[in-house]
Amino acid sequence: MLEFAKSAIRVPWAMSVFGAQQVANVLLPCDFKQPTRQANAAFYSVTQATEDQFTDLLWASFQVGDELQRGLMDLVFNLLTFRAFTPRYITRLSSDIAEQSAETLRVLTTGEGFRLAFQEARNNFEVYNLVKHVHQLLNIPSTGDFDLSDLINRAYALGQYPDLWTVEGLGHDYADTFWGKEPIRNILTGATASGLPDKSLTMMHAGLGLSFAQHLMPTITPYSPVPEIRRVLQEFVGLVQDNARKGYEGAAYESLGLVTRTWHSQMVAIVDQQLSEIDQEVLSYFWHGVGRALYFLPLYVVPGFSSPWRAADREAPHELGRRNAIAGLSWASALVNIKQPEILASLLRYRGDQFSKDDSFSNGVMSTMAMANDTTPEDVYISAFLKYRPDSADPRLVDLWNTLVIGPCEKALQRYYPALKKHNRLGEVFHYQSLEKLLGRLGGV
Amino acid sequence: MRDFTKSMMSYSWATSMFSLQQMLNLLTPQGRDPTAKVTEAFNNVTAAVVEQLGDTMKETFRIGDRMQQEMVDMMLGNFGLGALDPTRWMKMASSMIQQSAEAAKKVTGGTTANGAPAADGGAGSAPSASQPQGWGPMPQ
Repeated sequence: MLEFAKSAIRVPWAMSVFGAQQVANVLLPCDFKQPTRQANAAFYSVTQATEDQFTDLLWASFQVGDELQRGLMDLVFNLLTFRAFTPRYITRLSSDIAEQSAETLRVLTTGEGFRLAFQEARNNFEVYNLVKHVHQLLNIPSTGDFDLSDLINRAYALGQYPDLWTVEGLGHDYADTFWGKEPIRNILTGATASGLPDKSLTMMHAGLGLSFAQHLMPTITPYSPVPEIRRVLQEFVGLVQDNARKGYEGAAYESLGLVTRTWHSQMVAIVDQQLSEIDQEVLSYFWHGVGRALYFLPLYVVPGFSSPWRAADREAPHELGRRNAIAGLSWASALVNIKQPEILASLLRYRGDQFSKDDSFSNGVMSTMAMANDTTPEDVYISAFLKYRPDSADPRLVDLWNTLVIGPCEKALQRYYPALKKHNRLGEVFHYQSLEKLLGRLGGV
Repeated sequence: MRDFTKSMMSYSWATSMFSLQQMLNLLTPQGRDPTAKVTEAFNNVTAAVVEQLGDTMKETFRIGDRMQQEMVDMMLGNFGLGALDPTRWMKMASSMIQQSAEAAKKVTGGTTANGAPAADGGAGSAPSASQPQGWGPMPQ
């Protein structure tokens, strides 16, 4: 009790001194060109440390509130600087409002829309639980003594659908045990991992990347010196190269985007900038991960509240990022809802025109099917998904479904997947690219 | 200015949520010591805050902190009887004066060339807090 009382009164005192420090930082800046940089950096670091103390529910509430206040601040500043009165801004804002209203109406006005939105939220929650509680589900020993073969068998014993997510969690936990034992080498190429079945490799690599990104990203902030940020990103790339099997690196690279967008959203722009100079291909995987993260963000989980598709379209500063973000988002959307294809069909009904503009949506869906088919061979949910046809009373939707989903998926399973498997390049499906061109480069099937 | 306002708002929002979180932690205690989790959270956040302070502010924080700790010891230690002991109050006051004098010495020796306080504030340093918990597709 004594310790508790002491800690409790220490916090407000620390906060008061911190406030005074920030006033001093702003009034007497080290760099007069960026007078608020020091204070921004301090606020960022303390906010991150505070976030780390939240439980999931509170963290989700914080995220939603924070995203909303940031949006609101942008609006206020745009109004004050008269940017909000330019025709371009007004058009964009109006289209955003119209799009959001349509999304909300879709969910709330029809019984079917509400049922599907509710089901989607349930699927999301199921995945969240599977990954979050992988430790208990697989009885992973806390001592770190991993019998990988046994744990993989336990993951697959959970059945089709949970297996994929738990293998990813297992990859993460397994990689975590190597952290702190320098040098970190051969995690998935060493003797212990040599008995891993091929089907587990894509998701084990995704878990490996998660672990690396979760350890490295908290060591930098948007205000860290650029060489430091660059060094950390290069370390991430180096770790993946030193520990991933050849051909599966992409699955690990992609997780950097997932971690950055979920936990360090203010770092997305700076990571994008640095990766564009380090490695364009890793940048492509990064944005795919950002898209995947959007699907799971608390702000977009509440049915009808806000749409991740608009964010995927807007957040990337370039076409490579935009296409990958949309592919990553459709990847997650198709995979999480694979048991209810009508959810994806409902999405197509309202966003089909947007998805038809290019092949990024289709690329995400076909890539996720190739990956799921590899992780869970003869998956009953994939077969059911491919057999599903929307109501023929809506010919437009049937056409969209065939063009954007079924056609690409069949091609992915019959043509691309066998070739990628043969050439040991399954990691390639973790980013947007023309698989046809890739096949050409690999020398065909 | 835009970024500064956003950062400040995020910080205020995080602080409010932090208070709520600690209230919830106290109302739903886990383990033997119901306050252990909250104490740890308080200590983690305090450590992160102190890391962002410059030398002068760090010293100011330490003096105030020590004084607070002694007061708590007096109030809650020895069944609160310490609070009635004038000798302890005297000791605390003299120790405070001594610490302030030492701090003032340090501060005058630690001013920058232009006389401004060393507002280094640890800018850009990443928080040394514990690993974040998992979310969505990410395990803890």
